[in-house]
Amino acid sequence: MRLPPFAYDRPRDLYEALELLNSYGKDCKVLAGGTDLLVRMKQGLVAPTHLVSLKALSELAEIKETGDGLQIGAAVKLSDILAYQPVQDHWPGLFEAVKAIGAPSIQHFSGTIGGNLCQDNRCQFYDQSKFFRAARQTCNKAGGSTCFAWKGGSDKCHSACQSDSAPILIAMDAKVVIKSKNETRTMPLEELYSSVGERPLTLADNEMLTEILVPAPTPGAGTAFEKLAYRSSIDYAMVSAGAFVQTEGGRTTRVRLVIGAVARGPLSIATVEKTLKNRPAGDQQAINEVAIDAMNTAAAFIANNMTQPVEYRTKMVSVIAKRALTRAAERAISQKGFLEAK
Amino acid sequence: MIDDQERNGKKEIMEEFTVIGKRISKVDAVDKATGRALYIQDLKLPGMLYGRILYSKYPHAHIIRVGTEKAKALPGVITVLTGEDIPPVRLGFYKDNPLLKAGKVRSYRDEVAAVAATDPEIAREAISLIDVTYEALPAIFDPEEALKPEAPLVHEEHKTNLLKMPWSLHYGDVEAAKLDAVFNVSERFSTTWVTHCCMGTSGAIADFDHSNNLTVYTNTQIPSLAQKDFQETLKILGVKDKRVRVIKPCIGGGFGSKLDTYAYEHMAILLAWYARRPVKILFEREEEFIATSPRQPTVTYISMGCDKEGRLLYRDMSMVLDNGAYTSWGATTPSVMMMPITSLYRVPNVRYSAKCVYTNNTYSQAMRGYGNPQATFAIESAIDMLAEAAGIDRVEFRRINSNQPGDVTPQGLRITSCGLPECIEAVSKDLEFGRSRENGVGVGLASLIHVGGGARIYKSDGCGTIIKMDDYGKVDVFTGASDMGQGSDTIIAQIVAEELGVQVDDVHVFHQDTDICPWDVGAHASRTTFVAGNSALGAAKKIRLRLLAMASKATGVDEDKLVLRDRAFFVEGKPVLPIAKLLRGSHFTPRGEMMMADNFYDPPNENMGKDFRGNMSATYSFGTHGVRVKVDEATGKVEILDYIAAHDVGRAINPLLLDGQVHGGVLMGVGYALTEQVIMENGRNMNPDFRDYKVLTAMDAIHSKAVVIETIDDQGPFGAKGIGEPGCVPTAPAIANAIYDAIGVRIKDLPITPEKVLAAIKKKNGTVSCGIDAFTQKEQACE
Amino acid sequence: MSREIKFVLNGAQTCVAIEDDWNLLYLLREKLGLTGAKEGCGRGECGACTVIVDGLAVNSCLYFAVEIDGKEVLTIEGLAGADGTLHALQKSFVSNGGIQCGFCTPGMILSAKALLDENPQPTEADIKQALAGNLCRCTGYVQIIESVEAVVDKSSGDINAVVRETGDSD
Repeated sequence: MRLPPFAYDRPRDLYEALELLNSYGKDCKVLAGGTDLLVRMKQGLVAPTHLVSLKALSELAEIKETGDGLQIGAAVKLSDILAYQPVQDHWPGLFEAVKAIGAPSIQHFSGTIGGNLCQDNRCQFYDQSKFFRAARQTCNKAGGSTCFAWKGGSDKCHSACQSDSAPILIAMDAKVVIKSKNETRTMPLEELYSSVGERPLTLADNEMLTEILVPAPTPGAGTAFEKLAYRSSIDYAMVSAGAFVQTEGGRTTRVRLVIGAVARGPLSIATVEKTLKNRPAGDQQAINEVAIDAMNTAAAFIANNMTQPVEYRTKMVSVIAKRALTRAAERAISQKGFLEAK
Repeated sequence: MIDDQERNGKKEIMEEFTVIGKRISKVDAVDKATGRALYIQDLKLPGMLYGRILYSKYPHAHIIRVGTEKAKALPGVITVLTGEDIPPVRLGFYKDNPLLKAGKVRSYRDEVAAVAATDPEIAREAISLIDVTYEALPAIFDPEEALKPEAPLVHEEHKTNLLKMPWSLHYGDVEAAKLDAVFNVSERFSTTWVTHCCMGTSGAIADFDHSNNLTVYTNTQIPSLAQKDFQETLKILGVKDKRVRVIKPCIGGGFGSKLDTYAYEHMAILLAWYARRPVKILFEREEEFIATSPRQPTVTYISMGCDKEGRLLYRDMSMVLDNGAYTSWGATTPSVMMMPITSLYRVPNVRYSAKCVYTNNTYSQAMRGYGNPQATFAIESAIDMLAEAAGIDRVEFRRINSNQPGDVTPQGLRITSCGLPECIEAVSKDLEFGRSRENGVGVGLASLIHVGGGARIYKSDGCGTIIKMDDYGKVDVFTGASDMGQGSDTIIAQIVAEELGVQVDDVHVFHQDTDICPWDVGAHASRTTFVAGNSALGAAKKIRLRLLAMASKATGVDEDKLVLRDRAFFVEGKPVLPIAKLLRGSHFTPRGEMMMADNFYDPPNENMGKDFRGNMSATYSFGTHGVRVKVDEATGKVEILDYIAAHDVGRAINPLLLDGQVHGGVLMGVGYALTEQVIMENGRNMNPDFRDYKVLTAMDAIHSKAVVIETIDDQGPFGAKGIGEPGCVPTAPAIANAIYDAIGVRIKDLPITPEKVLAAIKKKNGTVSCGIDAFTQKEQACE
Repeated sequence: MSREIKFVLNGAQTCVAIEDDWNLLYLLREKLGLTGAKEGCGRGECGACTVIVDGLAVNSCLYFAVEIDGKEVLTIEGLAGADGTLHALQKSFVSNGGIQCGFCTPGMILSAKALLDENPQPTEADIKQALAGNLCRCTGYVQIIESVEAVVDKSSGDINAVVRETGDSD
């Protein structure tokens, strides 16, 4: 099907792009890979009058390693991240997460890391055609006042954040650079997410994610990403988990666990540090404890927003969390990159 | 992969063929590899309009008013039709499905109005401008509930939701056999909707000429019967005695989805009729999911018993099928289910009954196997259970009960060639059923019987062929068969080429056009290689005889000394006369003759009698599938480690295409077993896209090993039997049996999703847990 | 808004007037008459519309036509040589049974080409990964994967040797 008419701009530099965002405001969408946006436009979920393309902005399409870590431009293609040797060597969790996104010929060559982080939340009742949605009341996310995904209804939207890259990047303490015409701010990636289903990002209409900053790898650290889906590609996660484990002398000194696909934003598990700190890395009993914490935390959020049952997804949080933590710990101890670890 | 060496070796001993038995690429493959093949998506006629259908907003409701004023006023809209505007065209063999609904809708899929406009986007907008006022009615979605007296009626005039169909048989004495049986099992199994997911969506173009002759370009597996259906619609429109021509562009997959004619085809005809311009209706993917007919769900109750040696004594089955709101061929699948039920393995006493029930769900259709996958899932799962109850190894149990050549089954199926024992051996040898295994890994097997020599569902099971040859020795074959990707054109070309001593590339097969091609009942029941193949072979034999006679006259050599091969006649190994030269001579001569022959082949099979006895197929195909799975006991995910599919195919006319049918059938079967389901929530399809309808991807592909058992059937063309459907028939029970072997839980409801496996593990262990983590192999309590 | 774009289409400089809201698939099929790329879902879930843009396999249904300005586009129609000689992948799909109904074939072949251009010696896992966005309902992918492997495995000899060239008729 064709799309409703809109105007397309391809600014030549970031400044011009931010100017355009500033002047068009909320009627405007940023177009990076388009693999999420076009589908949502076809479904009539968004109808921007202006699209600002990032295709000509070479400054956003660069990935490089610096002394401070990894700098990834928001418009870097997923396939470029996978091909970047330092990612394979030092950030295996990120490699796994990016590899797990969608399907290569669909997402990897067109889709961008910024697009993956900034994709809208999803729900089986919302991400449907106009025709499909027309048979029901309008839900909270579509501007109405009900939620079909929450048992008994809700005055809040219970969609899920389906970014596969967000959980691991948050677990690695990644920061993002947000720019508008007049301002640049750098903040932890988790602050990009509002945990409001209707409007899941904290970006203002005139703001744009321009860069992702991943801290440099430290000796004794390990990362891992796990995704549970029916099929080996195409699928969104039923549950995903990103884990970061820092060890010293075989003991965990710092650890983060972030669960994806279950809540309105990536879900950081707060108790993980307290439970695992100073324990031997990979201590299964402690990891079990954290995994169950993660499940209990997630249980408050998981809604019927996918076709797979809520109860199953809830239970699986513990298994997926445990696997991510276990593998991150193994990598922390063995100090192997993705390819070696394979 | 196939054991080529073994097969080739066998062939060398038997007969020498030039093209039969060779791995020959498909005759249409180059066109498809270069993007030149034209599908309905690619066709446009001058002045063509674009049609679109408005579907119901309710699963069951009165239609109070259909307001079309705004749609009609939209520039570019040429025609708007509602159920009130058109004569009563009714679809399906049961004629219970009005083309456009007036008065009442019975499912979300019900067609309420249709438009034709100059542009697809205008048509889309016009549809959105049609206001329909409904008054909701109580609806019924569960077929077992629908049978209760208080259930709302889907069709009031029928006075019940039970379709008046006679699906009930009893051969021998099941009750007496139950008393004799030493071991018994009794279980309930269920299957749900799965859909064909043809990569090319449905579509049709209807075009009337000035004299009201109709041409329909459509994706159909039944050109001749479609012609008849369209003719009936014309009659209702008051158009009598006109020609209907059906043209099939390339078909982007069939799998049974195109066995009937559908609303979109008839709607295109009506819109074209009223608009007086060609009209195309092309489904989008969502519409394809919502408005085409899936394989129907079944609830099956089975009990089965054997004596102490493990010989089956009886099989007693009853079934409830969700027919949906209207009736298509899905309602007749019990006729094919009867085949495995009465005749898969030797079982002397059989009882079966099936109830097809109206609900407010989407109406169902046959899909690859025509009911056989549903029936075989229950039978083969129960066979494993019975073998276990009897304490007999499940491979041995199947050996004991295997069908054998010469058997006549209780239904009167005459088993002629039968490679089932060899199939069972091949699978058990390959997967080493006895060997000890690691945790969470198990093996399973399941067998199948399927019609392999046509299936006499209609009065005729026939197919026509016309062959003509030109001045250059090239052959044109006009067949009734329908190639929808499975490769029937190539098989027919091989058969004709072999018989006429020419190359496959000398043979051009036409199947696309009812004005040119002879009659056929359709591409169903894995019948094309057998029936269309025999039809083509018969026509080629007629040509061959004439060629030999003419060549004998021309050369003065006796016919029996002439050998026809390599495009020429040979005498004692030396070429004496090229076919082309002979043909030119026969054309360019006074009182010449034209080389053309026709043949109509109707296989020697029987319609079923009132008691459903009758040898419905001229021969039967057999097979056994074996699978090794690994179950992740923490997530319930099932991984397939090895897969072997052994089939008795009579003869492999083209092993390359045969492999393709088996591999494709197997993965479709794996999807049926593990991931695929149309998720219906009160009649509404909740997953009308490829994200949530889980067709397996290349990353899920299984390198299945296809083993071919050749039994050289007496009736088959060069000994071949049908193989189109069998590949997906025993897959689900083989996997279910392997899961049981791996972790001791039996899943009785398809698909076997991870959550079902996990729930079954929990139930078995009697604990409330997260499952057992694969990392620790330990049970991990959650609460 | 309409505008004019210039790009290289199957090796030929092309200049065409488009609307901003057209996607590449629409431009190719409806305006340029190149119907080899198919619309199987329109939502980037099936891969039937795959074409190659600047060396990468992309879903043309999710690619704005305006964004190919200045780029190089290869569709299935441009894969064979100018004299009609089939590309090795086309030959291999033909001769190894990689094609049944054919609807997914153009996209499948182009995804495989993009893979081989980038990685001439892919493993089976690489091939599966590269084709993971191209759905096929007929083949179970087995012969498709074998078709790609046959091109990779140069040691098996000249690909031409195993192909029935005569299949290239009409």
